[in-house]
Amino acid sequence: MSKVRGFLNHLSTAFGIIFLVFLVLDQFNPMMNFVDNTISRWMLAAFCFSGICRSILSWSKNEQ
Amino acid sequence: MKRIVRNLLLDLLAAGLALTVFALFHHVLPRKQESMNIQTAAPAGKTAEGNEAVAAVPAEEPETISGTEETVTAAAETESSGISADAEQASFRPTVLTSASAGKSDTYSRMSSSGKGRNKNGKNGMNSKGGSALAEDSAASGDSTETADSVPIADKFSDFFTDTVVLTENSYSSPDLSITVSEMNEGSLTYYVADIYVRDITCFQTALASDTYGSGFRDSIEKMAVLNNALLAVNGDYYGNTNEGVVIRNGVIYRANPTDCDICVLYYDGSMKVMPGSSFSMEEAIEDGAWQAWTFGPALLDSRGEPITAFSSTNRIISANPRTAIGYYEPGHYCLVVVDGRGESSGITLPALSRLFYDLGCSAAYNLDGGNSSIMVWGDKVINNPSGGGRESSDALLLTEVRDYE
Repeated sequence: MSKVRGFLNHLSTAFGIIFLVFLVLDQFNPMMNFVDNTISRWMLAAFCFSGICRSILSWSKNEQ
Repeated sequence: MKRIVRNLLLDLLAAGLALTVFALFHHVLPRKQESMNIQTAAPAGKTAEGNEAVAAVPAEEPETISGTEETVTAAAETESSGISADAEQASFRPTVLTSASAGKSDTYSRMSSSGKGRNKNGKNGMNSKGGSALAEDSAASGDSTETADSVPIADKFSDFFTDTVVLTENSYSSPDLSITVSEMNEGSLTYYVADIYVRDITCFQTALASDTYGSGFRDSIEKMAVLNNALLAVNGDYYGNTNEGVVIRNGVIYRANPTDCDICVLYYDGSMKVMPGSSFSMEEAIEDGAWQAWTFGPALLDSRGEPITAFSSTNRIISANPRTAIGYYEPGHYCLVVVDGRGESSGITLPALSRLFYDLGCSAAYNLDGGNSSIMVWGDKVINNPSGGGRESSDALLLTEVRDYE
């Protein structure tokens, strides 16, 4: 379980960095549509999923 | 602590790799895309009586859309719209465009008589509109339906056209086309204005990089100009940067996914409309005979042709930058403006660009891709000073002859 937790931690951090980069790029050139294209939306969904899973694992660990 | 730093570095590396892969698929690797394969045509009522329509008129009987009897044709069968025709057999025929209305004629006389500045009826105190101005009455600007008291452009602009080709250092004229390019210097600002009259709208073309529709295809504007025998070329909207927006090029609808960006549509009858993305309808575009459509923006004049002083965008976008934009006076009369920036020339802010088009006398104007993309090619030479040496683009606006002249 700790491996899954570790993987989700990495996943969330990496996605966080990616979306920060997208937001910065979007400030420079919104027409390139970094934030709201199909790939970004899938990545955002994965980001949300990893965040939720991480939280659930964290809560279950605290319960123990 | 060491472990945290190591993990962070690992994540940074992973994010970098993911971003690289994303960039490759998003817009670096050339990827041919399917167009909607719909060929638009000039509606019968939108051309001068007795004149042939500038349109892809199929050799076979065209099918119609939604039961209308307009000459809406398609290049291939599309299941979604039920439109079908054969673009391969389409033949282009030149036309004489019609001007739209008396109101638009006034715009023309204002520009031609004084060059700059508004007419005596100009309402300078009625501006300060935001980007939403278009939403109030998107049809008011360059309405293509105003043909009641139309005058053939061939007659109206006859002073600008010549029986033979006349080429000078900064101008070109022929029976179908008249272009005059001027370099303007105002303080620290340098910009180029191409004043354009076309009798045949098919002279106003767009080119795709590598002659292919898709993402990741890029060519220099010079190359696209030379390959298409263009007299004048500027960069377009860089449609290949995104999969959203409306892309209509030379009467072919490639994409119709409107976003919240303003859309600029040039019609077969020579009129040009700038509208909010939410107002765009593909069916209407086909019915009205859209010849070109660009998605970038924003609109630079409101629906009444007044300058816009407040744009809803980030300061970085609004601030002084190199710019490319298209202006519309009336059917058959347009201008293309390229502003240099980030060098000896300071560039121009969006409100100042809006004011510039207002002063030029345009009734509608639309911002295209700018920054390093802003390039104007006259003949086969870049005449402006592109920021950073310029960059390749996925498309270009061209003025070219569609008939051969000695």
